[in-house]
Amino acid sequence: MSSEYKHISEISKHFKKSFKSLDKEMKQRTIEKLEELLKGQISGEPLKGEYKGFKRIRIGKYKLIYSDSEPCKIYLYNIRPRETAYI
Amino acid sequence: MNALMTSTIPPPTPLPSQALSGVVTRSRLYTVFLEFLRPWIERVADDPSAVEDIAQKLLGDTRFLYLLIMLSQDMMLRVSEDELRNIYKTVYNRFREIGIDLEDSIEIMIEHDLWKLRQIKKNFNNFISIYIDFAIKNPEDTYRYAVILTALMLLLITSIEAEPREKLKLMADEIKRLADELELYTLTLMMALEKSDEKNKVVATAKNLEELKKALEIE
Repeated sequence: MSSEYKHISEISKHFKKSFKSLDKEMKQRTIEKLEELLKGQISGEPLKGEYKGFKRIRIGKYKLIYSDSEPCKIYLYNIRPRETAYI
Repeated sequence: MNALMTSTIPPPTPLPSQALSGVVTRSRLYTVFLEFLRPWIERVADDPSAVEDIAQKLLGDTRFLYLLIMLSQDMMLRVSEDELRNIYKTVYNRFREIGIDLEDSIEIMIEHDLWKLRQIKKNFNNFISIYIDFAIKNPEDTYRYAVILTALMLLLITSIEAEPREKLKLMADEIKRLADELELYTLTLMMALEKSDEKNKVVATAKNLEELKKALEIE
């Protein structure tokens, strides 16, 4: 049994779907980042306006968007790629 | 204009690439814009860290705003997505020549500009509706958004038009800092536009690694 996180993660339908579309390496990197986040070791940058309860963490060219506005909970909203490689 | 009106009307939010399209087209309009901006470009070239102050001054100048609106119309009508990418490539190469990698920042700006261009061209009513709503509820954030975009536009023009080779490193640092903040606005506007209760619904919870892997269906 693995040790319990500092925060309970709530996974949205959106997040689950976008996670599923990642390749194996990106899934692994995301899990590692989620572990750090859920253990309270890292925090992201807040978005703006009424979305300031949501935060961004970069994972390579992907952006993990989550909310920690409720105590002891982290709501995983989405993991979004930059649209394409542009250059 | 009464105080309520001025506090709810958002400032213009140019695309960083907006004026740069003139670098490629070399239109009369761009020449006039460049002439107007010349003293400011020289100041940015001299001291890149002053770019936000300069952007704020320009956003208070009706001549600048007028030229910006015309450039915006010109760009919407004439510049394709491929051209926009090429414009950014010019900037990317300019920095790369002296060993500065701006790939991340350039990609963030392209993502912002392409997304916004597409919304304006193909989803105008919805986009304007959420943008006005954002501006009314968050005037300070909206003003900051305009400052970031104007400052980035100035830095991009200066990097191409001026000869500040020794200052390019300082300019790159400013571009990286501002592009990082720009991404937060792009994500905010994207989220505002894609509001969906169904997609936001919680479908699983996890309080340890095992549960997380199970919830995300990883063997």
